[in-house]
Amino acid sequence: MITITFIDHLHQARDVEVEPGGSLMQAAVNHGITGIVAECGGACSCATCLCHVDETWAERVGPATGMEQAMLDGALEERPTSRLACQIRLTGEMDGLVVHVPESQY
Amino acid sequence: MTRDHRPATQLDLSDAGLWHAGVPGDEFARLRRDAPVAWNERHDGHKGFWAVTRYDDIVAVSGDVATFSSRHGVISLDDFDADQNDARRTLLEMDPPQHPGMRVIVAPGFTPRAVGVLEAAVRTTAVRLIDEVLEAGAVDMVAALSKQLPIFTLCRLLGVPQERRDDMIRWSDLLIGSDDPDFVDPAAAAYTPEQRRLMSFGHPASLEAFQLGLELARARRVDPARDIVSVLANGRYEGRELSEQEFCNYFLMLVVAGNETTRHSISHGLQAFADFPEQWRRFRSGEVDTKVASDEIFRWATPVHFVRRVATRDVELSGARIAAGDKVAMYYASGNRDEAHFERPQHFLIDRMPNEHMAFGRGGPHFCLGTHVARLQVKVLLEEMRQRVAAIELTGPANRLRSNHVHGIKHLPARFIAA
Repeated sequence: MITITFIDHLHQARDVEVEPGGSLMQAAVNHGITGIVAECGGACSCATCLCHVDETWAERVGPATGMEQAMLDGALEERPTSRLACQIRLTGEMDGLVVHVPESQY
Repeated sequence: MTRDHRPATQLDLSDAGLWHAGVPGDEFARLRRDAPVAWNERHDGHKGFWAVTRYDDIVAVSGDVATFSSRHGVISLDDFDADQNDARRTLLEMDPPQHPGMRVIVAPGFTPRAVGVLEAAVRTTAVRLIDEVLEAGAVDMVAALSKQLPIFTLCRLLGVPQERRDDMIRWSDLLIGSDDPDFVDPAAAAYTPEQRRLMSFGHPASLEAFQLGLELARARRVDPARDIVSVLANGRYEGRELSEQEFCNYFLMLVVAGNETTRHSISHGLQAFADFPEQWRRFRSGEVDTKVASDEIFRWATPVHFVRRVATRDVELSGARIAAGDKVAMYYASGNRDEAHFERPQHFLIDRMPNEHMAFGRGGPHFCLGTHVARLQVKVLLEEMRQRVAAIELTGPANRLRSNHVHGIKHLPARFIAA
């Protein structure tokens, strides 16, 4: 199990424990993280699982590419560390990952 | 279980007349309880299909694109041959890797931020339309309001000149209303059935829309603007430009999809506020977020009754044995009333939360491209109506569209009472 910390727009942190292998979006949805909507279920099609990877983790998680980058160009609140949570595959090395969740996805 | 003993629908869900009378809510409640994946036989030459009626099964089918393919038809319960499917193919009838490759051409133009730049223009139009209705008294709300706002927005978004608004509405009506005698077009008789077979929606109105699309594309290749037609006309798929047919079908899909669904959602919302005036008062009290209210309107309206897939292999789903090649229809009309996901699903509750409805689809890559365009319009309309309208009163019965696919209202006689 690895621990992921979600920080909401009011700076409230919540730690969740998940098995590596799934997506960050699935981890958020499974633990009822409000703010991650994910209506398309992880197909990079709805841009409603936008999150911001904490800067201390940005390099290890890596940037968006391809279709995800194209979607992010039009997302609300885009920052250099923005990602769509459905496109982040959780690995054992991501134990302790910190991500920021926006107030609203749309 | 033999094929003779498979669970079956008691009503023929492909019968447009059934839906004309009303959404068969009792049958769906029975199906969700007793036969969540049920065979619907047909007796008009087309093969039968499976009706999927539970929310969770619809999400599962949506997400499993390898087992449930979109390539063989999505918006009709009829059987099409390969030539027909290829000639009419749009984003809706594509599987990976074609689908994401084509969708990403325009998808960035439909995200919340991209769509947000339209808000001021949508608001100006919404205010004008509301004021006109207030002034006019009893009107047909469809003609006066719910037809007008989406087509205005769509023209702005796509880059279609506003003077072509009425054409866009007419084409859309003809293409969606092919099962409704009110929308029979005498021009269609000039074409043989074989010619119509390969036309988009089987209707020559599509040719007029193509002509407009190609004119615009030619202009935008020379002089691109900040609109979706420019993106599409200059867009690339696998390193090449779109073919003329790809462009035309894409353009027409955007015209029809962006027009009908939002229109009918607005109409159903207005009717619901008239039928349940306490919900309008509750909304007007200011305690209900307009985004929350909008989502209940979309759930309540569910403007598309179903979308369909074809199974690529034998598969079991909630006890039903689906064979490779079988058509599978996901009934959003039922999923959005599923007791397992919504408390008091048969009630219109303007402050419903949570409300993870499937009016835009759910759980798969075909999730509605125009979701945020629809949300923006309904949100802005509600915000402006809240200021100006004390009550909505029906002045006659709603006239429903005769279609087994689109939950349409053709006419809604009503008036706004000024605040």
